[in-house]
Amino acid sequence: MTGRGLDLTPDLHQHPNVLEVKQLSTHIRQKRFSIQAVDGVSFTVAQGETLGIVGESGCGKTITALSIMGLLPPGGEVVGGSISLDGVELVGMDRAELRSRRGSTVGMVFQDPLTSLNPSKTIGWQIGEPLRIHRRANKKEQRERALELLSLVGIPAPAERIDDFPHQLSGGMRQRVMIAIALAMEPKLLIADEPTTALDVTIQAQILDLLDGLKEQLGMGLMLVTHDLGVIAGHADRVVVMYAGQVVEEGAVGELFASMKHPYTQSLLSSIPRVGQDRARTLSSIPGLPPDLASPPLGCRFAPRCSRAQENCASAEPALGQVSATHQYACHHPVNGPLEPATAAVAVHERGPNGNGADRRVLVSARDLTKEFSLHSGLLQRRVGTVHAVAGVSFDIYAGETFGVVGESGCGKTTLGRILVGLESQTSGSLLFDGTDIATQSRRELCRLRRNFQLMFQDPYASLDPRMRIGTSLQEPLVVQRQGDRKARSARVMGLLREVGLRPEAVERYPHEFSGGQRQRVGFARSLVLNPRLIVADEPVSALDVSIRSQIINMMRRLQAVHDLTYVVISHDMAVISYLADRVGVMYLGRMVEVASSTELFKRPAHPYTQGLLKSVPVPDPAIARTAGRKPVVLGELPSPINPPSGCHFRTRCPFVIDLCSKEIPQAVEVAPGHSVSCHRSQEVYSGDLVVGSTSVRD
Amino acid sequence: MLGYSLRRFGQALITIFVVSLIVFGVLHALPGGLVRAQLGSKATAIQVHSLEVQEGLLRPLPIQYLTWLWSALRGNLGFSYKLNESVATLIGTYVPRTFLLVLVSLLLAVSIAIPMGLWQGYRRNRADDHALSATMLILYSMPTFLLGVILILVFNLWLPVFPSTASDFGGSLATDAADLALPVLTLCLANVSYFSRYMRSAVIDNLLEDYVRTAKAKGATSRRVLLRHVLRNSMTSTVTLLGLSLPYTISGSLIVEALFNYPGAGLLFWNSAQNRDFPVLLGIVLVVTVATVAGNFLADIAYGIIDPRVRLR
Repeated sequence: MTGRGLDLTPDLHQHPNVLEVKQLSTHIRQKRFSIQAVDGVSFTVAQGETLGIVGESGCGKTITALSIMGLLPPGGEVVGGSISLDGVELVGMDRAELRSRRGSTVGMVFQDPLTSLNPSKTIGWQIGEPLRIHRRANKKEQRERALELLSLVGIPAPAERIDDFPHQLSGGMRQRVMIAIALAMEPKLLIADEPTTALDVTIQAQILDLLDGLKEQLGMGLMLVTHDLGVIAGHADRVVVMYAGQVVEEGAVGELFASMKHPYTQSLLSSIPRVGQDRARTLSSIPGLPPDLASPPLGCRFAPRCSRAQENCASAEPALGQVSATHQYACHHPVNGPLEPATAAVAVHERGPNGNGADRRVLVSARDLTKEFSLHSGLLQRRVGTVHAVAGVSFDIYAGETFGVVGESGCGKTTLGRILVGLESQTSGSLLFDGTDIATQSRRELCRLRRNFQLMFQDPYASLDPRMRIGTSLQEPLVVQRQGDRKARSARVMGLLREVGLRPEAVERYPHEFSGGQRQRVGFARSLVLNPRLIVADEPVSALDVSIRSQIINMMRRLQAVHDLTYVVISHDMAVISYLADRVGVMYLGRMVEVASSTELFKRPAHPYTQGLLKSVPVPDPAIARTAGRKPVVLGELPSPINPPSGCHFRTRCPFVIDLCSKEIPQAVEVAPGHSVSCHRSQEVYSGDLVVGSTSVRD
Repeated sequence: MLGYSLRRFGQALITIFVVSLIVFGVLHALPGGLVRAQLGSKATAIQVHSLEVQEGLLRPLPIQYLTWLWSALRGNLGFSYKLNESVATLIGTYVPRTFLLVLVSLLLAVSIAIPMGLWQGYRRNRADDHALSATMLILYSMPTFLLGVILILVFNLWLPVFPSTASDFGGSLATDAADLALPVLTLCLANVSYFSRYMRSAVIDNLLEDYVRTAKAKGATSRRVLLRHVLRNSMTSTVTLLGLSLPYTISGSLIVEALFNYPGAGLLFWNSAQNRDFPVLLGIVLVVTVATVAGNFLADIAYGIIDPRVRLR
């Protein structure tokens, strides 16, 4: 074993440790080789403390958590080290005894709350089950406890909800149910593995706040596994940074963010786009990919991707450096603190004349765009309701700019994107592309027009034909549009691959042979094939790790300048939008509630919803994250788009609601040139008299 | 759930209506028509015409259809001149025996296949799973009549426990259960292999689901995970199969009935086909189709009970 430990001095904590992990090594046996997923990891979690474990996918953080739970995937085995839970050693423990601790001494919350719940059992049954298992409780006791737990995790009207099935609940509610299950036996330790990754920022803030509160109320230790340094900054007391199965840095959150020592921690932090980031510079990114853990490299595992690496990095494993009793790192050539933004990177490529609005030529013009889906039910499938996915949206997109669309899931942003590229047709309203009305075109004309607008998908794996070679997939649009001969097509594809940073051999490969980031490059190349003028990118980087994410974002910006492209970027991630977009539209329940330039919108939002969204974004800086008041600012959930609230749709969640809001739909008004808002109190919000989160928020 | 059931019932009614149209259509598309089928090819034109008038065959087709449908609804499916008996009486005697055979063997097949598939899925790729899979594959690929012959060989000739023919079957399970044993077993074994393979793969898929991990994280034992979580979610595909396998089991019963000389609809169908007794053939087709649609309707309802998400659709 090659692991090294980062030992903590436990007496620094006032509370006893509920979890002590020492030199833990976990391997996963495959057919021909063994993946050394966790290699010599040590850390502790004290009672009442939140330990954050952060790292990119494949760094071993989830396997560490599953080792503690004894729930390793097939072939997984703890091969060394010790796990002590509440003073009892778990490694080597008898299976039945280990099982008796699962769900009672330690509980776990998983990432995807839909698939993690049994679809055919009521939530009440599922919450009560641990009591049946560990205490042989009868049905009545289980039900009473389930009711208690449902109100503990903040589900309104528990008695009405207890007999619901998981599919009847929203994502946020399901995650609350998962938490209730994990807490049923009041565990000493709660492990939350990416508990909010699948949720919207507003709901994420609510769930994290709930976890904070429950931890204090129940006095348990919380192990928060996440890829998001923003979540860590706002909610963890201490943090462990993992890379390639090892701990590379560990420390109290404030100390570590202020004076990080490991280049990996530093690059991880600087590759996250932030709201209000300087858009003139490219994002810093970590080149390359994490190492293959079937045969991990000698020496420092980060060395191949590290800009500070020297000869000794590749030969000797770095020893443990101690900054203070609460801050340790493993690096030969440590850095000192976070990267200064000024030195972060070189300037972004200059964009064409249209880039910053010098020549404001409208490329796409939408007026009162509406898309309705009807719902059918009953014996004769009568129409019983209408989903107003997009409800009267008007905006212009200028040639050469990036127009961002943000909003929670279900706000209609994806439907809007599909209308823009002609994959859906609007129910009413007009959509002009360069002055041409798309809806009135003949099939043939539409086919010819289509080459001008292309869609880039969120999940490039699902959107590429798994049995088609990349070259064939990329050539297909050219074939459909009857462009060029075989030779010309092939040359075009080769050129594109070079542009998106892939090797020419890629044409012979199949999608599964690529990593997530490479696949997104392929996806982007595919959208570029026909030389479009507009690319609609729907969540282009949501599925990617932060270091890869910044690579793709940089590439998108570079190619926009080269090809004079117009982008529509749809995302729930405010930071990505703030960095990529020149102008931004905020959608809520099918309506565009605010449109403004990116700089203006993120500096001076004039709609309470935009303000709330902005404040919900986790900031990867403990100094800000902790002072800004950690309470969630947008409460409740998105109302049903079948029966939206009267008047202003946001009024049910708005802290500044007045009588007028329920009576009249607010019309769009310009609070400043190019900044339009649909809110009855936009003047007060814009002037700063009303600030979401600073006044007492309506519960 | 009520809305869901009503919707499925409505769909079943529509299917039956379409089938009745097809049966009626076939009846009238017969070469030479119904009259020739009855009177034979040597009948004179006068004979043919008088029978046509008598049977109302000169009226417009829609009227004829409605008349036929109305009498079919009242249980009058025509008359078999070959057997000199009304079709309804014949069906009333023979068809219930076939249904008994089919239902008993299907129920037996499911109650063997579900626990077996659950066990195989749990013990995936171990020796016992492989042994069961191999046995099932042999049964699955064997023609029904061969399986029946082998069963007769084993349970009648070598171990004389069951009679080799079911010709004496009187219609009551209480007294004549032994007569049914081999026909039921033959039909059942083919289905067990079919169902258990699906059940096994459903269990394997479900064991990889996240909710199983949640159940284990609660501290549930393997037994609990299998019986309380995986079983119900894996049964959906088997239940659908049950409905789908109904017509195929009914046609399988034709061979089994012929082999064991079991006096059911299959044997009747076989004999009528040889005698060109069309009213009987079509009557059986109609009744069996209605039964199949009804079986699928019941399977849909069971599906809705097992999986709450289906009810919404």
